Amino acid sequence: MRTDEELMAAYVDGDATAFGELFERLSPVLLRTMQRQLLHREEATDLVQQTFLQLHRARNDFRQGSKLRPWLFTIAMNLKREHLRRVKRRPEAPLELDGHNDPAEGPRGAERADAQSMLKKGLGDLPEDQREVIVLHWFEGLSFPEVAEIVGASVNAVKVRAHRGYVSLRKILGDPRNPLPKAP
Amino acid sequence: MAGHPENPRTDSSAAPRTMDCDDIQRQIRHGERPEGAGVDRHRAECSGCDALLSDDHAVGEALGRFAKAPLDGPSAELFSSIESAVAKERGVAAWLRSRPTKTRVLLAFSAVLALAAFNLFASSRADLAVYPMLRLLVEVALFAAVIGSSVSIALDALHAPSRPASHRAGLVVFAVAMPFVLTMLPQAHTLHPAALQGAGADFGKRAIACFVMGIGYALPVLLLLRGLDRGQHRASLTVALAAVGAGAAAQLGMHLHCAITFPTHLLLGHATMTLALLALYFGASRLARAR
Repeated sequence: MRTDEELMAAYVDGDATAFGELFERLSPVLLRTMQRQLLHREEATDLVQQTFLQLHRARNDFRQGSKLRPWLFTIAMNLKREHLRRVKRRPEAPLELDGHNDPAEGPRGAERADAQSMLKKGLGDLPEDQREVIVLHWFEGLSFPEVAEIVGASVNAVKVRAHRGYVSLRKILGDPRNPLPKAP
Repeated sequence: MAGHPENPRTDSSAAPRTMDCDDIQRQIRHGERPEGAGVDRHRAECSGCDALLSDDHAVGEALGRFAKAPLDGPSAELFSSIESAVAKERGVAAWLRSRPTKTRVLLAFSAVLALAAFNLFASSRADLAVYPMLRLLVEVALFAAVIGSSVSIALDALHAPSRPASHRAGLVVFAVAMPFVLTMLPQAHTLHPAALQGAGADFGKRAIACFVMGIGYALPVLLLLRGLDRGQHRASLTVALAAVGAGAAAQLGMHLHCAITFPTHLLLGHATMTLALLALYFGASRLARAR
């Protein structure tokens, strides 16, 4: 199987089918990231579309030897940031992420759903730079150096943002007005 | 709880060592509960990991669960719409914006350089021999700095980390204000007859002529910059930098061409160009949004 970078190189060389393969491979990850950045599904879908259009337009900027995912994520995060700046609002917890409560889990599932709902609210209240780092690191499994490359900051700065985010989330989740379910 | 292969705790032969952030987060991601002396030592030094593990691991576990929450995948229509958007990428504009960023910036600078060279060598100001050279160099350098910064930011590739909005806002303010400040300096000289024009009955005619000529210089540069721009979702401030760059290019061209040194002429006939282009840009954007 060809790597992301080999597919991109093939696309730059004119292999149109490579674009379809790249979409198949990377669009679920990008859509998930956008949705976890607390964008509504329509906005997330639109931004994924814009990201792939930018991949096409900027294809001649992609340097051989570079990693494709951080490159594409940087485009996606820049588009998201400018989108939020343009509509002049903070992201909100979208409905699509609510209610993933498995009925088989019973009351425990309901408690977890409550905790998730509080976490979403907490993520929505975080400054954008902290939320971005937490989403990319925790939900997309990117290492801090990779996140640093994407957001254009040093590894230390990225770690500081993540840590500040955890401290803020702890305050929100640990607020006595938001009682948390105990772990089993 | 089963240990993960990368989990330092599984090495029972070694004494517990202080763990780091990555160790702790890896364990949480694998559904484990980081505990023990090594973890406690790290928590004492790291407020971030302490926050993750406090309150019975509340934040860490919530993040771990949230990461596993299922989400819908992309629809088939999404690929069709991207395919049709890519299929529309044809023609000169599509070719221009798909050039590597260095080439796009070079093309834009070449256009500005051609404009400046034309006015310097083929249509230069009549008082060039008597105009204070140091002052001219400083003025040209200021316009060049505005053009260089605004064009390179306006054509910035999206795969490069974005610059803070405050930089862009600062640049717009500087580019608009700088020409007005230059007109407040003492008159450069009155040693050439051409420098004294536009101060009497011909004031309006000459100011309008310079303004129109400058806008005539700016529009092709602006069109080229728009053609080279790849953005669709770009913040309006970034797009406005194209107008700023074109305005500064026009003023540079006029500064190398027009010998009039009368400050009010420079104020109304030259310094207003960037402002007019910005007004034109924001007016056009508002009209487009209203439709």
